[in-house]
Amino acid sequence: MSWLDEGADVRSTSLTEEFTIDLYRETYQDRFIPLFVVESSGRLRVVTDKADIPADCKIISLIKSDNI
Amino acid sequence: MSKFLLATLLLHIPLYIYPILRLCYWAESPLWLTLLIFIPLVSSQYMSRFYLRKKNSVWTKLLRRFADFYLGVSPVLLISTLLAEIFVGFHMVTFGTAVTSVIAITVILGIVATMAALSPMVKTITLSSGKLTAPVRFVQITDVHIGSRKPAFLDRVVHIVNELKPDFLCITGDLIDGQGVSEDDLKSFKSVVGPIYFTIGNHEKYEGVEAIARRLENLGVKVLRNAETHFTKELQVIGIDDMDDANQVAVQLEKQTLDKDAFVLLLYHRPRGLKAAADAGVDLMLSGHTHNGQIMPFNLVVNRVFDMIKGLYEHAETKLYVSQGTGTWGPIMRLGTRSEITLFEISPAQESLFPSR
Repeated sequence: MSWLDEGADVRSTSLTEEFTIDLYRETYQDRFIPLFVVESSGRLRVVTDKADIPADCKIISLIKSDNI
Repeated sequence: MSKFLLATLLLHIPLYIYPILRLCYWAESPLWLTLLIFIPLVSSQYMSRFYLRKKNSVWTKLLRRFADFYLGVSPVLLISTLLAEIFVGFHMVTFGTAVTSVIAITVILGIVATMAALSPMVKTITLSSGKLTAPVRFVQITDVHIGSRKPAFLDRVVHIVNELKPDFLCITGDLIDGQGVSEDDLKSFKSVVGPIYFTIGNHEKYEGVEAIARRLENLGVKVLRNAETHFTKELQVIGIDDMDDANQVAVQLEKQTLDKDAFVLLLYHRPRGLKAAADAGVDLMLSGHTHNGQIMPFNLVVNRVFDMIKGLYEHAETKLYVSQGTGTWGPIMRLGTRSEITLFEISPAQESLFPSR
């Protein structure tokens, strides 16, 4: 069964100095699949490497919550 | 010394020092008894909020309840003592009657206020939108303050929410305000049918927001931290992190992509930024934070800090609803305000058969 079938949703999150990519990873752990990032320049980029996400960007991910 | 600390110490004079000493004087209590009453009461907030903050024994919990009860009734005690001064001054009552009357009024109003805080009312807000083709029904809870309140209170709130059969639930911050609130304490969220959207409040930041967010996500709650998602393609939900910054809504909405074709619902803890929300194209903004002052006459103070402290407000096409809060902070009391669970029923706007000329 795919994550979408299980009710995961697409969330677009603006990372900030308070909510950094490290805290994002800590919050969602293995329950997110990053799809795209919108860089501060406005360029949309497909995420091919989960480790390569810039600090100041908008991240668009598929996120699965546990009880769905 | 910070302004907050100075204001707190100054408030001790009318709320703690004056009424206690006055009542002891009228009661002609001996010095030892006066000190026995005075010292624990005057130091109760300091002890419970700072010294014993991270201790969770039965005794510290009892002390916290006692300190909060006194804090909650202290404005009533002050006002009734001042009124008694008049009666005593005009020799209309004896000292003994004044003491008995002041204590009786304070205890009775304290009990009434506690009862009001224990039973949240359901308030229904009915709106319409041209962006919806089907009706939507959702519930807002806010400022539940689990930590100050027991998890059993959350269970009761969730039970009421489930009886309303909403399509989804919104939580606009200050859900947790204490140390040691576990995932198990919040497990009643698992019984909610439909998504739960959560945005953080100031108290989550004090207690460690990352750990709280992780706990909530584990329970299936969708934590929106400067994030947006869609409930359906007709309804977008945005959550913005609480910040003590008047421009936070404007700054964060600039970074979000608002779906102009959808009904845009914004969750932000503090009732600030309505104009920015309207400029960005938000349809409905939900907030809490103020508790509407929670206990009279604290609402007069809150009124000076926030322009919008309860109910529905409007700017251009955008509406803001400020909840009075589902729970309580500090004293489990509400005087002149009510704990609320808010049900929103939004219907598709119908074109009039008789358009105005």
